[in-house]
Amino acid sequence: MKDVAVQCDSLIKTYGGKRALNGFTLSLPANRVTAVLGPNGAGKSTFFRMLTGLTAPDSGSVRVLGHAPGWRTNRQIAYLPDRARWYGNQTVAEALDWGAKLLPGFDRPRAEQLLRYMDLELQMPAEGMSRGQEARLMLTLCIARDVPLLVLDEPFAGIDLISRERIVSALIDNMSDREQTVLISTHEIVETEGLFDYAVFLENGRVALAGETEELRRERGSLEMLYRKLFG
Amino acid sequence: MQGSFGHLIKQDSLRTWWTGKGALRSPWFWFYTVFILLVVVGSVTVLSLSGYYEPLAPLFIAFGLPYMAFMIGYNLFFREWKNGTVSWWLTLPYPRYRLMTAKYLAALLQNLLIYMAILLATLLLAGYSMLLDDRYRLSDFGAALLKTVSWYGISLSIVPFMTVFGLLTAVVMSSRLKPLSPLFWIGFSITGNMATWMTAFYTDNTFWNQFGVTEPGGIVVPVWFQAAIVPVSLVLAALFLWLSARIVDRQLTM
Repeated sequence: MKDVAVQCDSLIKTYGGKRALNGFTLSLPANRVTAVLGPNGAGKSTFFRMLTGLTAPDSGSVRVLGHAPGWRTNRQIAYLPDRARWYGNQTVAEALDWGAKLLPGFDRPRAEQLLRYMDLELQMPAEGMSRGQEARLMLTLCIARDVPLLVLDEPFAGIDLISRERIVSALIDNMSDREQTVLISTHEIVETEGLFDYAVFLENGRVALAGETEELRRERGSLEMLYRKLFG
Repeated sequence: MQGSFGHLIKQDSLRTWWTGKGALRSPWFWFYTVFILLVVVGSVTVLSLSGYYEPLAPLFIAFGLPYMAFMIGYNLFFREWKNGTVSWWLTLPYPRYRLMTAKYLAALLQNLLIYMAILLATLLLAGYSMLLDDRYRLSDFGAALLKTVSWYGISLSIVPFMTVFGLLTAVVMSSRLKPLSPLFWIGFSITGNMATWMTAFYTDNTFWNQFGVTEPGGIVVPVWFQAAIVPVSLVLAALFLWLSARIVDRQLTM
């Protein structure tokens, strides 16, 4: 593997007696779009939270873009947290102000362009938005950042079909514009399979399988079939 | 980034009152405000005209304000968890101490504004009742003003500490140190009442005279104690703020 964006060695993380990560070892290539797949409780969100310094491993080591995760590395990471909500007291325009003031690399003109694409208006209040609208707003804030690493934890969870399609299109558009490492965890494998050029399958806090999607497909069929074989 | 710290404070300060689910946007808030105002002004009018109203009675409110300061600090942190925005906030590319300090200053600003509003309301009510009650002369308003400012000054002196104590309690509740939280709530009930302890210990046997406009005595807390409490409150606030940031950095259960 040429450039490595994320390197994890023997990570262990325990929550109340349950091991969320259990000897988790993984190298992820830079400037690729990686799917992080696995059933609920496989450790996907814990892994992502570790990359952003939200949680620390009990043992093992993590390197993100060559450094230990923390607030400094977060300058270079756009992160969409799992089950996150947006600030209900903000309008879309205020959310963009928030991004422009607080997030390094935030490209406001690009964000406004994305909003049109996501069918959102500047004066819309976040409070009262549908789940899909809120998800599109949060994704806009992430992909409008010109940073080397984009981490999206379940960006399609609980979102209607139209919103999902818009988000996937926006992601494809974004990837064609930039050299960026993108990590996406999702259960919507069928709809998103075309996005990925690298895939990691997690099970019980460990990496069950990882590789180039082209090779995986050639050897074992589609990612969905592979998922069913591994976890079905 | 330039202006980021100011934006963090702004995010949590007064605008939360009139945006989103902020209290000032609720028609019920205004209904109850008007209702309470009418009841208070009506009662004060009747009681003052019949000579039964003590103009400085609302000074009792000053006892409760440190509790309010604690809760404002507590809520500012806890709201991030309750509203599901904590991951956005904690992954901002700034040191945790900076994030916590911004929350603290926003809470302090809210407290100061509430203090000013209540102080003003107390004085207006005192002046109004003294106008109606022929036991008082204009010069008595000066005494009332002095007592009111002294009372609120004492209460306000512990606000820097109480605000951060609320913040720290919310942090502990969200961390692996949660089993310690009962101790913090016990601390809250004791320290919130500090204004009462301070005045009760140092007053003479006519404690309640402090609420009488024309009664002698007034605030009898020694000047040295009043002067010492502000730096002590500030030093403890800095220490607790540092502790909050450390816990957020290392002990959160996420």
